[in-house]
Amino acid sequence: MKKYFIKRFASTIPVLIGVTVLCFILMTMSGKDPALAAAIRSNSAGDTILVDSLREEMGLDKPLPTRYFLWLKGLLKGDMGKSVVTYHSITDDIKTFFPVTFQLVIMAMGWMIIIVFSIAILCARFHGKMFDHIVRVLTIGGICLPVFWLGFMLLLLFAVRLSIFSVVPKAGISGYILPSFALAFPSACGAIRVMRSSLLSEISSDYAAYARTRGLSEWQIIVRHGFKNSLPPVITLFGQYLGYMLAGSAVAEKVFSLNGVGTYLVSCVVSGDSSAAAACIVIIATVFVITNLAADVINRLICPWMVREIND
Amino acid sequence: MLLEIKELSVKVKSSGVKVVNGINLSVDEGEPLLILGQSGSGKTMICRTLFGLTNRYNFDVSGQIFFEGKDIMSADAKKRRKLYGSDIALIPQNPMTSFDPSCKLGNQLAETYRIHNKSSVKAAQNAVFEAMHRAGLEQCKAIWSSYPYMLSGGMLQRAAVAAAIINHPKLIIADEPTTALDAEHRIAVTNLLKGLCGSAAVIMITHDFAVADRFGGYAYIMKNGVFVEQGNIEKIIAAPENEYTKELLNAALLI
Amino acid sequence: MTKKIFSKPQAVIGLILIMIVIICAIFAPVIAPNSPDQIDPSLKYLKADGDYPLGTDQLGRCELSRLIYGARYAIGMSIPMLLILGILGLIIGTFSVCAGEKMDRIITFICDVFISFPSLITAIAVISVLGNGIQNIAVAVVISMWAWFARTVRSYAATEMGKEYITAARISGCSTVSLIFRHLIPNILPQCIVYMSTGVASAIIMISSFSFLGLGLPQGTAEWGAMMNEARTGLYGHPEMLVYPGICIFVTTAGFNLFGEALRDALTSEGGI
Repeated sequence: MKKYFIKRFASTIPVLIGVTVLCFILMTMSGKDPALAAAIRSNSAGDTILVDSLREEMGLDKPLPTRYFLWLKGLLKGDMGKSVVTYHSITDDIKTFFPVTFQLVIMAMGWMIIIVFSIAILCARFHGKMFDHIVRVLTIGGICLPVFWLGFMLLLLFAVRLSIFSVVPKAGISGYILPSFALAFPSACGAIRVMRSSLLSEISSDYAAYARTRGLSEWQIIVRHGFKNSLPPVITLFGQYLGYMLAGSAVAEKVFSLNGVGTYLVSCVVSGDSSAAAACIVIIATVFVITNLAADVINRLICPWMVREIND
Repeated sequence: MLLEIKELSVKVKSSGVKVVNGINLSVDEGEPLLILGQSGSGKTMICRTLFGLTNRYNFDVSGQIFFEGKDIMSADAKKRRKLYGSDIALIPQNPMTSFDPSCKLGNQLAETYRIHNKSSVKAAQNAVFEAMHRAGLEQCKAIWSSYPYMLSGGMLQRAAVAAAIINHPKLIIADEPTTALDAEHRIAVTNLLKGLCGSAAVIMITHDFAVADRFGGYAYIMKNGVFVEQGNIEKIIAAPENEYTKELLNAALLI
Repeated sequence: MTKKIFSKPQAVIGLILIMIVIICAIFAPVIAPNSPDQIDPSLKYLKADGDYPLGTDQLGRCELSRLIYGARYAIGMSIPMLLILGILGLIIGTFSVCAGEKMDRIITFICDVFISFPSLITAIAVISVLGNGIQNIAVAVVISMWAWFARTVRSYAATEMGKEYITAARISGCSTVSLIFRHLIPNILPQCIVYMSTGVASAIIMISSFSFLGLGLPQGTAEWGAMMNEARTGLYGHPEMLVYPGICIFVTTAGFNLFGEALRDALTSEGGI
């Protein structure tokens, strides 16, 4: 067990290095000269001496590998330089924007867990009944819903028509209820389908039949035994969806006028601020790698007999 | 009469094949009984029907099964669940896949006890240890806290026996309990089950004449869903009457 | 096989939806009642009538025509993209399996790195490098999704290569090249097509997400996501402008998902997957 965890942790390190290299390449490839961009920003594009000194200040005159290590060092220290557009420290920017996205994604995850677990369990219990069929149809439809459209429809219904929530984002949790639901719902539909079929295969397995012969009711079999065993594929999926939702938050934030990392990233891309964009992307990718790792570790802990190849 | 099966038939809906075709069978209290037959002869199906594991989407079931004079086929699910695991217990075919892999063995045994008896956790644990002891398991505490994948097939089958006897059932049905085991454990488990006769009626379902011979008792030979021969197992082995029984015996000798 | 697919209502519904959208895309100039880009501020937010069946938007453009032309972007971008992705996935996946262990490890590692980015993020990053433009969106989506395709094809191919008939073909002197083209690819192709058909839906959603975010396509393009972006300001006054494009996206993706699922069911019951 310990050996597996160490191996699994170690296997993420090369991936993370690859992630940073790729980000760095994208950043340098973006074609825009950060020094020049900064100079244009301060209305002194023609001043070649200034541009050169800026270039030197930013370390752009050094060879690529050196620049990569300098950049990586800064990244690890939490010093990612200044945004060439806003002239704020990128770290400070991210510190202000990340909590919004983080809260949004965590709440979306909460929605997801509530919706997926309850609906999938009911589907398994009433397999083949009306409820199950309705959920099947609804989830096929739900997967196809674009987050932004769902978001607008929720706004229209709850904020414009029913006036339960406000269209302008409110501070506190209530401002996140609609956006997190919009973000979670399409993914939750996918996860319900996975969990439903996983649960169904568990309750038709040998041990479920044996449990029936010992006098357990269907509910007891699902809740006490089937549920836990059906989790591994669902948790793997949750790990992935967490990353997707982090990326998809850009869309949800725009619909609900929240200022999160997603909005920040898009504005960086639009304004050509490649170093800030790269910083956001590295952070999101790292979180994604970590959630996938966490999903594997959780799976290992609840199902210790699972023998899985590391690169699987 | 403890258990009486009358004209039981099970038809597979999709193919229309009758896997069990009008069989009659009865068991007295504390009596051993054997059902012998090759795989596919329908013997496991009797057991599945008895435990209500044949779902009505795939199978047509007709006939009656009386337990202590009450028809359990027409009883509602709740009443049947009260019988299963307490008065009627199953020892499953493959112990390796019969336990929930993510649940400690002790909890699964205790669960069987606590469903049918109102008891504290401590009392359930004592009952489990006592049942394990009767099933010939030592190191009860270690087994209590191990997951199924940590134990061998023989130990798991003994644990299944413990689960079966924990509520002192009147009838134990052992569905090919020895098939998944190696020779040594096969003998031990058969002896264990034989030892249970008297305190409970034991129906042993098997394809293995060696096991049947060791177990003893009244035997039914089953082929394609019907009983082709019945009688005391020693008599059947010594002087089989039916052609099919002879074939089976010859095959068993060749192996 | 085809009979089996079409005996399922969901396959038929899916195919009908797909056909409707494709027909709209191809014959948009014929079907559309007006030009999608004709701006006339005096006609803004017209109610639905004979000339403008769904009314007009904030710039007086015919909503229905814009929706119909929008199908061109959805279909015209997603299907070629998926073809490229499918071919790329097939080449890289089979190459990875057949080119020896070392190469396999390298390719798997590269895929792992790419998969570590949520695909929307990779695509945003690529757009930030390449700038706006239809081709750039296509490149961005391909770069963000190729690793998934390569890895999936690789797993199909690896399973297939482990089967006995491949060993038998090898022993009987079949060369690697003919092994790949005669045996491996024909056998994994159905699974790959199913995977591709479900990928179309996510590609369409991704493209429209982009244009909703204002990335990739120029302002004012008659694309569904971009239309929603423009209609945002009318949330109170003219919510129907937000509703229509979403329904179009929904119908299209639902068509591909339904059909893809029926395809997978048919294949699974044949023992294909």
